[in-house]
Amino acid sequence: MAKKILIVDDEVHIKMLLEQTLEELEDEFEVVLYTASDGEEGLEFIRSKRPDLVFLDIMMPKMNGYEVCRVVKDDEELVDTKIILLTAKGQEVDRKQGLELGAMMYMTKPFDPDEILRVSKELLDL
Amino acid sequence: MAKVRGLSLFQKTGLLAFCLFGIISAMASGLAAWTLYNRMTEEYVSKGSAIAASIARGSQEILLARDVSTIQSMVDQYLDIEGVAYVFVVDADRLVVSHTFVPEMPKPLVELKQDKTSRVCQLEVEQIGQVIDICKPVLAGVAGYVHVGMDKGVIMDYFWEAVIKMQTMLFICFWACVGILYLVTRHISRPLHQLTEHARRLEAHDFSATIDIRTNDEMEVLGRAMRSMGRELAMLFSEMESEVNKASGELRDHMAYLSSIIDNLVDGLLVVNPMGQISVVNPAMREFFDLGDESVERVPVGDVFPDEVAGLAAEVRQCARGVLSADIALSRDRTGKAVASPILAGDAAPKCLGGVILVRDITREKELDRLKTDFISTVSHELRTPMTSVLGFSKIIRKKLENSVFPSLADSEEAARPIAQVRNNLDIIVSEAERLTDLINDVLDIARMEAGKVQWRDRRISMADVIAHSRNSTMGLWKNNRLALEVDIQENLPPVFGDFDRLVQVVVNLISNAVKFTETSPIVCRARAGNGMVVVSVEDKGAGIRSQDLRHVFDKFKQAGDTLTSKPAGTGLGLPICRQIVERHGGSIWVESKPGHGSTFTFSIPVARGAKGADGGPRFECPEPEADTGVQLEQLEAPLVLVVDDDPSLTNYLSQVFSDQGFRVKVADNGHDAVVRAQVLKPDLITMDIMMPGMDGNEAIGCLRSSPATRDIPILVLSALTDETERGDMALAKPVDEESLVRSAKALIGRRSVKTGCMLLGTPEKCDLDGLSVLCTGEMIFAGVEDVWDHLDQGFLGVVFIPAEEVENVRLRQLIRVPGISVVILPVYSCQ
Repeated sequence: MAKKILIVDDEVHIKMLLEQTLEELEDEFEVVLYTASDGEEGLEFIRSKRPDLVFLDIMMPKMNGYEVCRVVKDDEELVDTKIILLTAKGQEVDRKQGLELGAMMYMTKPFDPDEILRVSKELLDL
Repeated sequence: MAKVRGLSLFQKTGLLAFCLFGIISAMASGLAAWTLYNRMTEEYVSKGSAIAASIARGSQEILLARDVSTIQSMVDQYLDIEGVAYVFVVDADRLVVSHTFVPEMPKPLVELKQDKTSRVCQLEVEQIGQVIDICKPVLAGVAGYVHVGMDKGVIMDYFWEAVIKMQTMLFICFWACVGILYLVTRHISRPLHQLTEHARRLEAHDFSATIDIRTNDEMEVLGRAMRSMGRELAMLFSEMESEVNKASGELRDHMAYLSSIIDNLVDGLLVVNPMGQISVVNPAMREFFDLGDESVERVPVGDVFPDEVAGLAAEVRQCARGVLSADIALSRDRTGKAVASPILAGDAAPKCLGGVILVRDITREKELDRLKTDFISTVSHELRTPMTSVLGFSKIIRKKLENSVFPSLADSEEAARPIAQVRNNLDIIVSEAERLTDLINDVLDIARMEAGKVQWRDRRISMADVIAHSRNSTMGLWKNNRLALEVDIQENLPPVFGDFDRLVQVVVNLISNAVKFTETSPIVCRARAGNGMVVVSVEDKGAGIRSQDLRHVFDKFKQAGDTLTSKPAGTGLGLPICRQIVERHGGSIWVESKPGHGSTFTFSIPVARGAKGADGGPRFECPEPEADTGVQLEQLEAPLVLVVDDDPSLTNYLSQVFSDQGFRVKVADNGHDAVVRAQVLKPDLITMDIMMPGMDGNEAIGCLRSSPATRDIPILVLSALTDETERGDMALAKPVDEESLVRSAKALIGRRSVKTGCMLLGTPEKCDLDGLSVLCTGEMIFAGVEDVWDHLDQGFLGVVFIPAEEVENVRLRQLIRVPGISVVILPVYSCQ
């Protein structure tokens, strides 16, 4: 059973960066990567693909990361989805809000690719 | 002039004179009359004697011849002499020869004794009255005796006549004198009267009165003196009046000036008297709270203003020194900042006159502040996103080159140099990107601090812990530079009140700066206490700072040295952030340095209130739990509330409210008692006032939280300032609203039933559990490393104890992110 990772970010470069970082996992393990460019699309993917892990940017058009998070955590079927919030906002208030919404982790940009890899392995039990 | 009571002076004198005159005149007339009486009596006696003698001489033969008629005619002649009442002659045989009585001789005269010599006696005779009887013998009594009676009535008539005349004359004299005296005194008293009248009018502040006495004597002098005194007084009075008018005019103007200043203040102003009533409120304040024109003077603050203002007013009229401030919602969705201070009059022993509250409309500032924060966070966000790409991709490139590209080119001689360069360049890109990230973080940090957006987690902390923590965090740094870090901490360092992490940030920053500028010699970190401060210094023997740079080291983006020639190491924001943190704690930071000899950065943080350092100030030790006091705790179902407040009226009110809810209530009126009683009573809830004499609420909460027996008792803080929530479990603003008080109390008492669970990765046989009970009020689970997540999935909440040996085997990062879970790493060898 392949593990599915979804990357949701409106910034093309960040998406690419995450993709390239996580591609390493694809070489080693059974991992499938999906990407989405805004919150709505991300939510659709979560509903249709049921990813095990979501890297979710907060500041996005159409639907921000908090809203996506809230919808996912309110949905009984999706509640187990592990979400890592990625944000450029390093403020305590945001961190608290994210974790209250049930995000697993909160990572502040700029992040270290190695850190992303380590966290992903840990959360996916790889 | 006051009316004379009783008799006037003149009347008194008159009466006295009258009496004296009466006595004198009576005495004088009496004496004169008496003298006259005596003289006349003697005269009569001699007259009578002469008559008797002449009769005796002339009647010798006649008597012998018994010629009675001759004697009778002789005797009758004498009767015409004034004063002679009678004459009678008796013979030797005591028979009356002749007499002048008509018709017959009175009896008593017949029995008169005769002597051979002449005799005078006084007797009373009917029909005649008092007489002086003079008896002369004729021929030594041989021929008989002659009796002459002199009428004493005549003498008495003379006597009374003299008395009456004299009295009359004296009486006339007296009244004449009185008249004359009256005239004279009137002449004297008229000016006196005038003077008194004048004095009276002066007394009545009537300075128009004049006085004109022309008597050419002392009166005139006195009159003139009075007149000039009156003029002087009038002048003084008018001067005084004009001064008073001037002063009161100035005062009026000044008051008007002040009141117009107050009225035109843009800030709202509210003055409360010590009874908590409004005494002054200015138009701006009325506008802020939509009061209109209603009169609010002498009205209790709470009746007019919202609770936040009433709470501030209640706090400020207690007159504890210091300034209170709070954000307050104004009408029409505006925000105000209220600053309250007590009004203290006098320097030596200030008297409290109430308090003054100033409210400023900070809606726009809030808006600007929000815009600034938004701007900074937006900018930092916008900077972070490209930074992420730069840093991320550089690292990916480096990785890919190292893993895939370089190995395939390893054999090529030509490629070796470019490979080294590329590697070096990538390292530079990565490290510069990381530096840029630090800069962004620091900019955001300092901007948030300046905007007051940072949340401070203040508590009682030990500076020794801060330094130990900082030493561990920077260990990699100074070990890599092959430097030593010596720590020298004074024993019994008093605790400070502050944010642990932020103070660590300061010390770490100072240590890493010292490492940056030091080549070989050790860095020394010292901590000392003195003058109510804990002073921490970080000393290095490095390059030092030039004196012209010393002033700027705490400025933003300033680094020592020439930034154009020497490569800056850091963002230039470290020290400004340190300064912000230290100053926010009420301390100060400074540097001493000699170029070439190193520098010493020093900062001071005030000792926590009520703590005592080695310098020996007063200190509130947390009271130890008392030995078995013999108090048998009542095992009753009703929850026990410990009310802590120094205001008796408030404790009464709170006791009433809680009793009505069926709770049991105990009271303590200071922090020390509260801690002692809480340890004995183990209440289900403590309501805590913050501002109390002696140990205050914050210190008491610190003590309660530090003792295993009381650490889990919920504390409800009741304070006029709502930012006191930090330390208790919940806070309510004074004045307390009964409904929310009861609701909060019930919520906190209810919450207490949820115990904190503990999970220990080990077995009870192996592990040393000493001290764990402090954190565990609920069940204690012993679990293997692999079972942790199962327990979490089953809803375990609380503290997970992990022996240091097991840390590697637990997904720690994941564990600490689970809400409601705290992790405690036990020291090595806790579990064998």
